[in-house]
Formats: sequence, structure tokens, C-alpha cells
Amino acid sequence: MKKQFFLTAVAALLLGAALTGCQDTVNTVENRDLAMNPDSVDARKFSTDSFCRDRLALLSLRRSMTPGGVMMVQAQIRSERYGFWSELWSGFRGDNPYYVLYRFNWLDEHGMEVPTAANAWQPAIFIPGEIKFLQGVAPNSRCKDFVLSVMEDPNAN
Amino acid sequence: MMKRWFLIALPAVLAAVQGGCGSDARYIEPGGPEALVTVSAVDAAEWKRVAGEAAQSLVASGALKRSDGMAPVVMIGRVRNYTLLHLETGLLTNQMRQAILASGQAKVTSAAGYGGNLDRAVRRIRDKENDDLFDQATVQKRGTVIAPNFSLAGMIIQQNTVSGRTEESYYMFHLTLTDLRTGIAVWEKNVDFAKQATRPVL
Repeated sequence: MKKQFFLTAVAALLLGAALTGCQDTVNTVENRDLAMNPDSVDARKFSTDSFCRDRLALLSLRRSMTPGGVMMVQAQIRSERYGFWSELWSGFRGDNPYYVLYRFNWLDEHGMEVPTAANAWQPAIFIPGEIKFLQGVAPNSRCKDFVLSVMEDPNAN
Repeated sequence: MMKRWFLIALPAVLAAVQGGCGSDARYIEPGGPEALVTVSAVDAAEWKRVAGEAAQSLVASGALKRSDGMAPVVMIGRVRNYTLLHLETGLLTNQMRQAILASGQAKVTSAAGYGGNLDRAVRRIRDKENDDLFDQATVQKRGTVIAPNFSLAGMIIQQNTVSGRTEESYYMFHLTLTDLRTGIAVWEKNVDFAKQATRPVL
């Protein structure tokens, strides 16, 4: 009985090691002394999906004006699905890479949504540990604020 | 014994029956998360994504700005289809037109263009200048239509790859904004995506 339990535990550990070892995660390198001077935006988050919230980390939210005179927003997001247990679970479920959809909605100075014909859910694919920059450009110069929505892609996960 | 097997098999049978049932017709968001994704076609979601990405790039670039501060006029040219599919390129150009107008940076002309972007009424109404049915003071005169400054055109390219049971389709949408005075392309954008699916063994 003890021997059976021991062999099962070893087999499970080996399987876990194989699943996590077969996953490719992303390592990043950047210059330590940053020369940029970004216009950072304070974020207010409302999460309804704890899985998506825990798997993606918002590193920064920045805003700039484009040569066209409209606002551009950039969210720097990193996939947090690295580490032994995260990789084991995502390997078991086949959730690597991690597929999400995101969309920007734009608000004018009165808080009214500025509709745009080309407002669509955009796909983003995250490899564990990868950093992605989700960018949105306002449809016109009347836009003052925005809402970024992120959800798991139901077609892929 | 039989009862135990029946109790074990019943949930599996119910699950199989449930999975085989269809669903009533329902509304979905065009190009939204519930929309179909296929390998062998350009889906509604992709038209919206391409138009959105291209429109954002054009509006952000400042290519439509004129030095005199006037809003330029853009004509929608031809988007050539180099794929194996029959594609309604109006699904892209209509959204680009609306995005350009909504930006406030330019106007879009219906007096010149390709396909549905050309409104022949602009020319035909001027044929009424000799029609005594119309009050000639209200008939649009010749020589008043504003010519475009820019042309928006492009192409759609497809490449398919098959490896075993896996099929992959790659699409690239290329759009160009050309200054009609100089012939120089002042903005270009490639929007591409790839889709992959594996056929089941059975």
C-alpha cells in the first residue's frame, strides 16, 4: 500500500515536471535606467472574472497625444501564469498560451460614449511571462476618458 | 449491479443528448466574442478588427492634416481581393469611411470612388439642368463638386498552409493613403492575422 502510494506520487511529480518543463515562458530584459518620461494614468479596476484578474497583471497605464491630435492609451500587461503550479495547471488544461479579447470604449468631456464604427474586440495572446502593450486610439479629439475591457476569449479557452 | 451501471451511465447519456441538441435563433454582437471563428473565411469579427486597427492608425498618424488647417477630402478607391474567397470589401471600406468622418480630420467624397463608395446621383442630378420638370434654380450646377485630395485603396492577400490535419490561413490587409497631387503614399498600414484549426481524427 505504501509502495503503491509512493510510486503514484512519484509518477504524478514526474508528469507535473514534464508538463511544466515542456512549457515555454518568456524572460524579459530592459534597460534599468529608463530615459522615458511617460504620462501615467491612475487606474480604477472592476473585476468580475477572478481568473482573468489573477492571470494578467497591469504594470502601467499611460496616455499620450498622437500627431493626429487624438489621445492614445497604452496598457502594459504581463501574463502571471508562470511558476511550477501555474504552469502545471495551464499545461493540464491546455491554456497555454492564454487568449484574451480587449476593447477600448471612449468618453467625451460630458462622460458620453463616443461611438465608433470600427470599435471591435481585439485579440491578444499571452505566453506565460510575456509583456504586451495594449494600445487604443481615440476616434476623435473630443474623447477625454476611456474604459478598457478585457475578457477571456471564449473561442480559444 | 444493473442499477449501479444504469446510474453511472445515465449522466453520460444525458450529457451526450444535451450536447447534440441545437439552439433557437438568438441575437449576438456582430464580431463579438460569440461570433463564429472559421479558418477558411474572413469572419465578421476580423472585418471589424481590421477596420478598427487601420482607422486608429490613420487617425493617429496625422497624415490627413493639412498645413492650411482645412479638412481634406478623401476618396475611397479599390481594395483589391487577391484571396481565393469572394469578399465584400465594402465591409472594410464602409467602416473606414465612417471612422474618417468621425475623426473630424477629413471629409469623404461620394463623387469619386470605387463600387459602393461612388454615388452616381452626384453626376446624374446635373443632367437635370435641361429638364423643365425641375426648378432650375435648385438644380446643382456643374463645376461645384470638390475634388478629392487623397485616395484610400488597398489589397487583401491570403496564404494557406496545411500540415497533416492542421490547416492555417494567413490574411494580410494592406491599405494606402495616397496624396493625389503628388502621387506619394503618405500613410500605409498592414493588418494581418492567422487562424489555425486541426481536424478531428474521426
